[in-house]
Amino acid sequence: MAKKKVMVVDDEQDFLSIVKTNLEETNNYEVKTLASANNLISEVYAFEPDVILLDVLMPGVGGVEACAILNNDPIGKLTPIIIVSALFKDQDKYCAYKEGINDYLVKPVGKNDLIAAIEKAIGHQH
Amino acid sequence: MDKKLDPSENQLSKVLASIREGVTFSDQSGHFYVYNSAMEEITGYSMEEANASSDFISLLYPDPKDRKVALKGIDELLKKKTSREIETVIATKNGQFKNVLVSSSLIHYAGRDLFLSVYHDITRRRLVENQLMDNEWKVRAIFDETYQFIGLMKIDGTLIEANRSALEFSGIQASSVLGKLFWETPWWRHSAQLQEKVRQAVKSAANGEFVRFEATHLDKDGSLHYVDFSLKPVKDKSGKVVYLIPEGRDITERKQIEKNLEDAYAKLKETQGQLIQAEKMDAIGRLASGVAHEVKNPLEILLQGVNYLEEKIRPEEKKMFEIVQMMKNNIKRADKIVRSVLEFSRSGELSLKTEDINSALESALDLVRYKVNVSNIEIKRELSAGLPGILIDKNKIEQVFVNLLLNALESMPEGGKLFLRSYGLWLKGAGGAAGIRLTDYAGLKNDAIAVEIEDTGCGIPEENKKKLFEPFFTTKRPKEGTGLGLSVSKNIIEMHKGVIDIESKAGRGTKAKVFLRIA
Repeated sequence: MAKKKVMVVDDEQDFLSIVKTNLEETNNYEVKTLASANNLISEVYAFEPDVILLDVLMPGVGGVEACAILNNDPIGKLTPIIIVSALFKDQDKYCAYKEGINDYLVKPVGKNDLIAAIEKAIGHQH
Repeated sequence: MDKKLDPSENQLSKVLASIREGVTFSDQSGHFYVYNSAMEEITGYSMEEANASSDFISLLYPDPKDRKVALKGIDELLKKKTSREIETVIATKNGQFKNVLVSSSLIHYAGRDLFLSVYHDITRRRLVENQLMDNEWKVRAIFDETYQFIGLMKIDGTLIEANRSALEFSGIQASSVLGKLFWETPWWRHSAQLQEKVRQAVKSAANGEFVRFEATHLDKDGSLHYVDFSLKPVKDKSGKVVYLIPEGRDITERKQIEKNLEDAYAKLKETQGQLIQAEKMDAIGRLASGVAHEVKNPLEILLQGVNYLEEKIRPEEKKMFEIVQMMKNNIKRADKIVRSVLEFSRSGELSLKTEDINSALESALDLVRYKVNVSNIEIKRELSAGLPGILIDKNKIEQVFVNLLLNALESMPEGGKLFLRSYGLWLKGAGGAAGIRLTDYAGLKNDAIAVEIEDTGCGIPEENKKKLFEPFFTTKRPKEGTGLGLSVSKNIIEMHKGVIDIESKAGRGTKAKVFLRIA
């Protein structure tokens, strides 16, 4: 079975590295990490992810803004988006949902919950 | 005709020369036989000049009116043969005018009717009299026309003068107050308390004290005015109080200005309070979400790290397994603490009760009713009946609705429609169910109630949409908006763990949505 491609965008280097390790250890995922969403569309075209994990508060282009950019792109809008953020207020979630996302996870989210959300978002795509 | 009179006339001439009044003897033709030096001094004309003039009467009385009076006097003298006294004005040789008192009598002398006239120069006296009258008039004018109420009374309180301002203000006649005890006059009749106070004040002033207090008077239409009242003793040279002067100044307008100032100050304080509140809530919010972000991110890394480790534990390493579980539990515990600190710091200011959202919306509408009434606004209610009660701070939620309603009304100065909606959002099981994008989803996992306030006004230009909730962002003129309405509203809704959203199309209208969790 082909590995699913997961793109992780977060400005925390440690987060990127541990998530990459955990996901790739399952042998089910190929992970591409990005420290910012500034060149997201070209990265999406290059990597062609099956799902994108997005942080909200990042320097430069933030996660919600990145959703809007993806939703305005013919390929981007077909790629499932999961927000993984420390922001947990309903107002924050609402703003993200309004742009159009598939799921919203609040940090700290463990490995199993993260994988479950990824599978759900990818699985329901087809 | 013998122009020379009796030789004894010379003696008479000496006498005449010494007296200060002008004295003349003349006949009906106007010829003078006697014309003393005082007369020369008064008129400036010598006897020779007077006699040489063909019409001395016209010279002396250039004003036809005065001349007529003089001629009439001569005529009457001739007819009635009695003496006569007139006050008139003559012109002197050098063009001056003089007030003179002329006493004339007809004397039969040497077989002829002669006029004996005595001219008394009263110019100076008249001048002094006029000045005195003028001064009296000025004082009276000041007394009567001044804006202040002034009177004069005896030391026992009997009023002997009251100026026109005081009388006209209350629409009373002088006759109804003069001679009366001051505290029994109509100015004080509306308050027994004031009457007593005035009575005491008269007593104090009679003892030489200056009394001043704030009082009230009713004007002629019966409306209450505030008066700065004072009572001042007037002393004679020996220092004895002889009169009292009551004075009143209408300070109603000043009081009104003071009140306006106080109101403006209160409003300023309120705005300031709102500002401080907004600032405080903003600071707490920023601090709390900053802490949340800063702590939750490392917790995430810890949790993922622990997840990594737990898979590496061999079944026989029970102690290690226990420790890893303990680490996981404590990561969750730390997360809970961060959340509760944030929630506690924000909701501490709320006074929560189960309320009906529709009635909160109606109360808010009542508060802005005056604006609805003056604009041509049609209210369309689409409120769901039977919604469950929700746990809210009603005053604060009303404040949010008032802010949203005011924004809606102010966007429709020419009138329009105002939609008020409420409905339940039943979202259970909807979250994340679809693989495709979820849009327009309230993000609320629990059931919620939505309130919408929609107008058909001017809408919000695209460039302003991102700044809507920023403190101090306003498109209103300085005195009309602080730019805090929506910022404060968002804080209040977030304190309730709710959601606020504003959708708008420039030129078409704006829809504000508030989502609140059902308790």
